[in-house]
Amino acid sequence: MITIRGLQKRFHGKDALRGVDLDIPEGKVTAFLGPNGAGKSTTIKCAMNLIDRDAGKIQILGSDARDLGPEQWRRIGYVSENRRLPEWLTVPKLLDFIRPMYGDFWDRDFEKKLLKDLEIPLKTKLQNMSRGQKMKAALLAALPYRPQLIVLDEPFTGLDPLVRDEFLTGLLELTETEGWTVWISSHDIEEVERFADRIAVLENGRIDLQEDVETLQSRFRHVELWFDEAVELPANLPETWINLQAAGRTIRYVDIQSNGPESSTASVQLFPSSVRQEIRPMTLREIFVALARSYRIKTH
Amino acid sequence: MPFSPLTRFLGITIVLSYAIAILWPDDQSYLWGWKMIPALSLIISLLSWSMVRDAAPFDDRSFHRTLPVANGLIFRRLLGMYGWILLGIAVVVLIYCWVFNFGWRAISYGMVYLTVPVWSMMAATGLAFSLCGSRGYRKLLSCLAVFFVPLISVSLLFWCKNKFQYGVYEKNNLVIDGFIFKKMHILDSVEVAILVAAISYPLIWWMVSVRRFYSVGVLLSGFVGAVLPWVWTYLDFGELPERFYTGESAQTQHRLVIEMKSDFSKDQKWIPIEKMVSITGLKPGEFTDIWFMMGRDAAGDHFGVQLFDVPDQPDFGDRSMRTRLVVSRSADGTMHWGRRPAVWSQLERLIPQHETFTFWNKDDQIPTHLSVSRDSLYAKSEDAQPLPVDESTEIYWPDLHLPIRIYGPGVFKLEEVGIFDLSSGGSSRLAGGGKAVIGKLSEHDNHYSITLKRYTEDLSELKGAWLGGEMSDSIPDAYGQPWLIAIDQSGKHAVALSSGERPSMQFDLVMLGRCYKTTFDLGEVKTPEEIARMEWLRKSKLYVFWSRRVESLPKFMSISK
Repeated sequence: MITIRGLQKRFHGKDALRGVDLDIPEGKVTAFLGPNGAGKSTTIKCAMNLIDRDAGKIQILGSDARDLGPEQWRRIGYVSENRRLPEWLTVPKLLDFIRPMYGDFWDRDFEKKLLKDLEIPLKTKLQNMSRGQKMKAALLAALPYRPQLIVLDEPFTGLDPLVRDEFLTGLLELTETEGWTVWISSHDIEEVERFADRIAVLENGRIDLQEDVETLQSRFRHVELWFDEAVELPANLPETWINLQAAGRTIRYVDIQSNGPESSTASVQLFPSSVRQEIRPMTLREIFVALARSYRIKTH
Repeated sequence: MPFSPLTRFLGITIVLSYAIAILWPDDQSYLWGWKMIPALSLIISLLSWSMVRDAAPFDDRSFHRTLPVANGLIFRRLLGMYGWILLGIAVVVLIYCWVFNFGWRAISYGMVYLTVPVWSMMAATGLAFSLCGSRGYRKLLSCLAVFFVPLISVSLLFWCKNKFQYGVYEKNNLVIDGFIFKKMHILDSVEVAILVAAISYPLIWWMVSVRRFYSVGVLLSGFVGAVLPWVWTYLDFGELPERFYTGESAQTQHRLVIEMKSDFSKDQKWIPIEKMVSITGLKPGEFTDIWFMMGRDAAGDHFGVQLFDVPDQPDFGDRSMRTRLVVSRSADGTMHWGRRPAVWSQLERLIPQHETFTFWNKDDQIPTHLSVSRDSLYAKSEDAQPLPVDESTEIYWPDLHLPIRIYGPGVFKLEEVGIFDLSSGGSSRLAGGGKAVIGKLSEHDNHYSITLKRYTEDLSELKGAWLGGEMSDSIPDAYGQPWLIAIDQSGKHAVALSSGERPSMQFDLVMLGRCYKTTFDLGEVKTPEEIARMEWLRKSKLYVFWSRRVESLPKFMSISK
């Protein structure tokens, strides 16, 4: 659905994107993660041709991003926290304005269902709505034409947990029902872990990881080793072990290429004095935190 | 993008500002409009900012950029909003011209004159905010190109040439026959600059908004911004021929011919004009009005030919009044010389049947004869010193062999303005264009008067050469004058209120025209008889006529001896 290769973008002489390679496969929900300032929004804006790229190639729905036109935008639903909506309109007026642009693509019944499900006030102008209501309105404006691709740029920023949950639940149901391709950016894994099929992590202007959630979870393991006495970390540990921590008689690390018994054997061989070891699968949140911590360590 | 309430409010404000400035019932209200131009510019800028902000072509937050809508459509919507505003201004002009009964030339000129500068401003600010709506360093670059380059250019112009024309003012004077005129062009430099802006900025804006050529847009807008101050100062276009200044018609064939008779007597002091010259070419019902004749003798000295109304009755002695050459032709071909026979006799036939026809001023009852005095032939008019009679007449007059220059508006026809009650006054739309407003008979310190206002279109200040017109055609009524006749309730007695002498007619410039305000002083009323006479007048019907020019005269006429 979207293929990005070697995407580069500079702002004020500084590299914001330094060769991003990213694939957003069809029919999957791809969570685009990374710390604040990593370049997620820049990547999305380049992909949506909202800002010009300095180098690289972006194919979206079979076209170069620079050639995105009305034909492609009928198949894309875009929601962003930064998008400037016509705030002097009420939701029905907003829908009245955009509906004709989509012609037969617009599903009035679906619109009514969304209006009902999202519980948006109909007589309130957007400028008088809460942030959550505005985001719901933006989502409402982006869905009734059943887009093939939904791009959500930081849709949860500033939303309180209850609203976020409602928003997520609605989106989750829809993506499951409609089988949409969703590209959602967030700086918080917690927001997307419930429905992401795939994770892409952007770090320092480059894609550090992009993988299906199942594969990711299958290879990330949290390992904890216990010893009778205090131990020091030996040299030449595998590079796939990150966030190594030695605390008294315990050593903890994350194995990012865990392959079951072999990994267990390796840890025993490197730490023969360990009296007990515990290897457990990780949640997406734990994986994301582990990665974020490793990025920080690398940076320092 | 739908237009925000602020955008709509500002659009309506602009149109309403024009409507108030133009349609406010005060002839001078349009001058407020001129004074309000800076405020209007600010409102237009705000409007452009508001519109472009809602659909900025380079703003990554713009709503429209993620909708299935072509850039061209968004651009057309913006232009559409501007179009509605310009249409609103044009409608205001149309209403104004309809109210004052101005013709299509005034309407078209007014529309162009009021909308093109606004359009230039809209396009310039629209482009500026489109470019400056970019993010990051582009915003700074755009602001530099759009706002600072013109300032730098103006500074450079001032530094290099010590000159910058801030407004429309005369840059060069033109001297024609000793008279000084403000030099004009078909398009003066300010108008050329506005036209350049009106064409170039929309094109660049289109490139920026529709084709998304950001860099080209910045370069071109910077270039135009740099060039415009120079154009504004220097680039006049199209010189106007002399006749635009002198009011001479472009018409080369004139039907009016004035010929000097060779057999007139030079012995008497007063020479009746019809014995000295003959005039042909007038159609029945027309009269000519020549203000001044000036010649030049073989030695190159100027002299003027002055005419007087000389009382026919010897009792009145030398109570002659300097006047103009007014001659008419009646249906039977008879020529009538002098104002009273030439015009009032025609007017008598234009009002309903009546038994008596008198003049309000008793002195006007005296029959006069239009004559030339031998004393009136002045040589060396530059110092206005008359030469002795024998010298002036005997030396210069016979030596005349060069064409005489005529200063006069031309050939006229009387046109009825309307019939009004003097107790209430009224207004009337004129068949030939324009509007007349007659005030009621008013009194101030026992002095009675009637005020007449006549609105007539005037494109002379805006250069008469609009759509093939001539300066001489631009104020066709300027040389005409009102003629008033009151008829009492019985319908038997008609009284001419004005002497026919050209009254002092002040005029005020109004938008696209002039307002001639003429006050007819009916004198002081003290005695019971005078009061009764005024009451008689108050109950009378007022017939108002205006002499309308139907043809202008050539500047030079050969007056053969």
